[in-house]
Amino acid sequence: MAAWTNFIPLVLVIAGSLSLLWTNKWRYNIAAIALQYLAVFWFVSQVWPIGLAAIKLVAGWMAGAVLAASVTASGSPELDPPAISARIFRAAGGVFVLILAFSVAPATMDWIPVHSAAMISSLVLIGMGLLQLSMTKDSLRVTLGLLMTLSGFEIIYAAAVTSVLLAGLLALVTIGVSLTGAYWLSLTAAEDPV
Amino acid sequence: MSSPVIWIIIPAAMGLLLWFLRSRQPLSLILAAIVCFILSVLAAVVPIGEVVNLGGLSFTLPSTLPVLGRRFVLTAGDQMILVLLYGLGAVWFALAPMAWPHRLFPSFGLGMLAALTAALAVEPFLYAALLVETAVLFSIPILSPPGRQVGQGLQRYMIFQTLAVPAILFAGWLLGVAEANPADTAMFQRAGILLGLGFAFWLGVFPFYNWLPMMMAETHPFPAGYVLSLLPTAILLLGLDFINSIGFLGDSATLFYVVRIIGVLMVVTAGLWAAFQVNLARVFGYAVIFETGFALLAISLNTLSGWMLFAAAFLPRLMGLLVFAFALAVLENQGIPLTLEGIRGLAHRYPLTAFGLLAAVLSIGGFPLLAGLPVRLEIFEQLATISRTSLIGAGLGTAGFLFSGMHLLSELIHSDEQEWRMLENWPARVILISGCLLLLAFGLFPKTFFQSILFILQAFPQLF
Amino acid sequence: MLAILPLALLVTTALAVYILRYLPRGTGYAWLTAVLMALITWGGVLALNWYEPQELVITPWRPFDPENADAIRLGWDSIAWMYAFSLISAELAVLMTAAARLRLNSNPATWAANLFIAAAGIAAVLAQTPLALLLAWVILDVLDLLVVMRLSSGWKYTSSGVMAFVVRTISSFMLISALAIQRVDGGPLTFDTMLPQASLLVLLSIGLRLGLLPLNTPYSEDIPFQRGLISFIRLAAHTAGLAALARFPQAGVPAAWQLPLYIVTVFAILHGSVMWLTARNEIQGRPYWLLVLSGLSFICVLQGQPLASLAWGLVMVTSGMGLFLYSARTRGLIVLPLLGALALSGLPFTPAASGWAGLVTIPLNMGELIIILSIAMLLVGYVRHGTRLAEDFNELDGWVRGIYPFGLVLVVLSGWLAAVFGLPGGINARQWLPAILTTALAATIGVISWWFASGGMAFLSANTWPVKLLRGAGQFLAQSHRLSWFYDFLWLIYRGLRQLVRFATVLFEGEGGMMWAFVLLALLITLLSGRGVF
Repeated sequence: MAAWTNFIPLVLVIAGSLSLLWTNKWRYNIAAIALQYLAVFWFVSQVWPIGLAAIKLVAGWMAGAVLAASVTASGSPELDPPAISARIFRAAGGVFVLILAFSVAPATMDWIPVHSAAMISSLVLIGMGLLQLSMTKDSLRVTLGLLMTLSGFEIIYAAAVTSVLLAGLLALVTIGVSLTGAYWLSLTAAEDPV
Repeated sequence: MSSPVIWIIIPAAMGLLLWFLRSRQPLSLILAAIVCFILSVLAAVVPIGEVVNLGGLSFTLPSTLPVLGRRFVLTAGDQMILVLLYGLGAVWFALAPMAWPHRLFPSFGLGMLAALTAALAVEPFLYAALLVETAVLFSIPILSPPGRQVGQGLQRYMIFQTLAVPAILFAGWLLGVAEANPADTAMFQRAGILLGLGFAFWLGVFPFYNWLPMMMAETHPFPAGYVLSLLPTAILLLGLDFINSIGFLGDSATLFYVVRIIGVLMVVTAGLWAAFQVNLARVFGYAVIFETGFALLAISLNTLSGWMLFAAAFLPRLMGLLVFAFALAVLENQGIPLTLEGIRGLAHRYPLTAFGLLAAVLSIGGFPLLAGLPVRLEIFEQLATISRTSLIGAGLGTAGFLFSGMHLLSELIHSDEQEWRMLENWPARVILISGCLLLLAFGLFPKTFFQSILFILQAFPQLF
Repeated sequence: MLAILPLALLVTTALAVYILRYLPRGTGYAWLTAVLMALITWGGVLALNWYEPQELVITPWRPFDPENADAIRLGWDSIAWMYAFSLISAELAVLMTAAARLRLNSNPATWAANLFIAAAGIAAVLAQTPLALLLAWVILDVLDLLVVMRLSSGWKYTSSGVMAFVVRTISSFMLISALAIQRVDGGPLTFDTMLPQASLLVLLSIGLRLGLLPLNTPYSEDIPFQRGLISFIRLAAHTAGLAALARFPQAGVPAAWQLPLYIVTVFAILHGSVMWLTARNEIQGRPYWLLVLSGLSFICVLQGQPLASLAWGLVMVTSGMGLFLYSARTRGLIVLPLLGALALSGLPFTPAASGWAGLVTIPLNMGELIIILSIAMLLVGYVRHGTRLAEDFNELDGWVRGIYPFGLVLVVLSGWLAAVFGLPGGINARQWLPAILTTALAATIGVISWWFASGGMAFLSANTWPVKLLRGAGQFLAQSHRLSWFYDFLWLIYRGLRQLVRFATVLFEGEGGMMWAFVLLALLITLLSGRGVF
């Protein structure tokens, strides 16, 4: 595969993560996560067999589906759109994470055998995920933040370790996290929005 | 049939079965307690890997269960750990009908136990991170049962426990790379740091500690007590397993130095923070951090005494937390606010609960006559020979924690009432009296009670 | 096991007394059982002076590092016998005179408590190692708190109990610190081998427990009732500290600390003696009685004469208890407080005579003069309180009038008995000059107050200028080395720490808590990157 094609999933990752920061609409958020998992699948399929890499995609999309179903079932009110100042703050944070990811990536590639697009995507996902986790107390967004962080880690880890059992267990953890989020959503239907 | 089947598969299956019996609360709790008790007794009496003769029947219980190219291994050396874990489960499930008879507790509680046992048994060990995460996921319905809103504390618990997974997994990979290329010391360093980060997330090392007190304040104290007794215990044993298995960790003076610093930091922050708390549930959270800090200090000694102290500390720790959680549960169930103001004068109405609270807090603080002193005193003495600064730090933290105990004492007996009543029901009285007597017995006769728990160290032969 | 037989007897008796009260006419049976068993124990303890049983040794107490582990040893050496005998005598006196206080709620429950406390107190004086001492101290502290909680009629008294418990807990933890620090030397802490830092901590822990360092009298407003039980528990608690003092090594006090500790203790003694002299009655003055005599014992240790402290400790218990139990009075019994005062005077061939060796050397310096003055005031106060009018002895029942004086006589004479058989060197006339000086000074104070008074020594309790002057002087002394500035400083630190903790709690548990945690994580990673790790 030509090297430039690796930047397509990178763009997907950046767009998806910024979208997650920008908007509170759950449909867009879950769509963003789905896109991110597509990107993860793209990178992982370069180092794993397609069948094995597909576990990541399936697990990620299942996680998204579970959350979507739970939001719908719980009847949780849509979160209010964030204020302009909040959006600016989040966007600034996101840009900062991007700059950090781009600058740190070359140094980490010395000891982690991953090409630059994958490394940058991984760092972006981890950073944006942590940023998301530190800026919200909404159960759905917390779950999405965790999924982002885990998915970012999975890109690097897939390049380092190839194991069926590990892939299965990580997929289980992904689905388990989403189920936890779904469970919380069912409890917090009456919660005030963030 | 092998040991992992008995101590992992069977309890997991029982957990699933109890899920279907969840509507029959006392029965499911009693069943869970019985299962755990049986497993604990089996771990004590049935030798793993040796021939067992039962009349004309003889068999050997294998120690290994292969799964998809990996293995779960529970050897004879792990038996004491199994006794401890399943004994813990048996006690908590047996007390649950009086403290918190919730339908989700037995099934998810057993699932947690099974997952943590699996984490201790799995080889290669890096898979343990995923199994610990599974246990954490099982704990969520216990901590936030239906009808109870999920708070930030619980979210942060989930976040930090989950963040530990990538750190540990990555550390495992780095260790493999480092061992293949021993000349590259930087890889060892990175592995050690990521491992440390993972454990810091798991154990709630400053500044990743905030979920502990927050979670305690948001949840019912009994299930939270169960989770916070079981999870750190398993994680500490896992940490010991890592040190036992990874050669460079056991030989690294830097590691033990860092562990000591972290231990002192945890003890100081927990003690200081506890000194100014007005919410007893939050004090419980700090008590867990405080105990974990001392466990790390014991590990940092890196001597035979240190390992013995680490193992022996489980008894007073678990007993203290159990009595503390049960006493809090009694108050919570009576609708009494778990604040210092709420328990003012409590000794005149709930004397046994008050005494239990006080005994638990003081025992954790290392008050003489109680279970915490023998181990705590020895740790202080050993620290004095290594680092005066660490001793002073540990002393400061202990002073802070005891200050909270004294504050608690003052509030419990702050009353102008002259009449003394005992409003606890009979089961609660028996449990609280037994708990306090055990705390006293452990404190007065440490040699008698701590000898058996030291056999936990058989699982880690490379440490000596 | 013979070593702990008296303790076992006392505990068993306590349980029996507690149970017997539920029987018909149980109070009588309980009292008889208590008195008889206490008498047997008293006789047994007396016999142990000539037959020293084998020590009870529990080593190792903990299963870690057995070669260097601290041991628990209980043994009947001369120090232990002295204090144990005085305690059991005091205990017996409490029980015998209890009949005189039946109207004041003296009952089998309090007698049982007394017996438990006696057992704990004797265990503390038998302690031959700091670890054994620590455990015994804590048992006494807990019993004290329980007694206060049970008897107290309100938070006013309970709060004193809590404060005393906190102070004693600090003292216990200072002892624990000493145990830890001694390990630097490799071996366990014993009374014979102490590193200078450890010995200082031990000394300070005892001083704090005795109310000397810094000056603290949490029971200055003590429970005014239950004089038998409360007096006994106060005496037992102090005796537990004094027994440890007597075991202190001769050269154990670090040289640099000798003078400061001496000065502080002398002023504490002076303050205590003034407050004792001007107290309304012996019960109100009880904390100061304990303070002064503990201070005298402490001075003996500072002067390198720990065995001389035994005399003052003995007098504290026996003469003190004789006075505190003297609730029902008559002219014929006046000889008892006078005997107690004589024992205190330190005149040749009295129990306190051998105590002078630890207090004064000729020529006298300023500190020693102050000590002599303090003892003189103590004597005057003793006589004053002993001759004060109180409840009429003749109003007691006949059989009580028979047993009550016997109890008082027993405790006072036991002091003399213990001095003859138990004090190193027995009773002697080696140091007669300070005793003569003290007695003369006491007589002078007494005569002066009598001369000014219209009603004898009652003058000293009137609201007149000498009393005001004395009280003011006492309060000034108390203020000046009660270290209020130090406590204010501690309060400042407390408030500062509380603010810091609140700030950190809001920071890490508030909305931005996660972000702060990750910021610190990023900082850590940056620092490590700077060292080439990442």
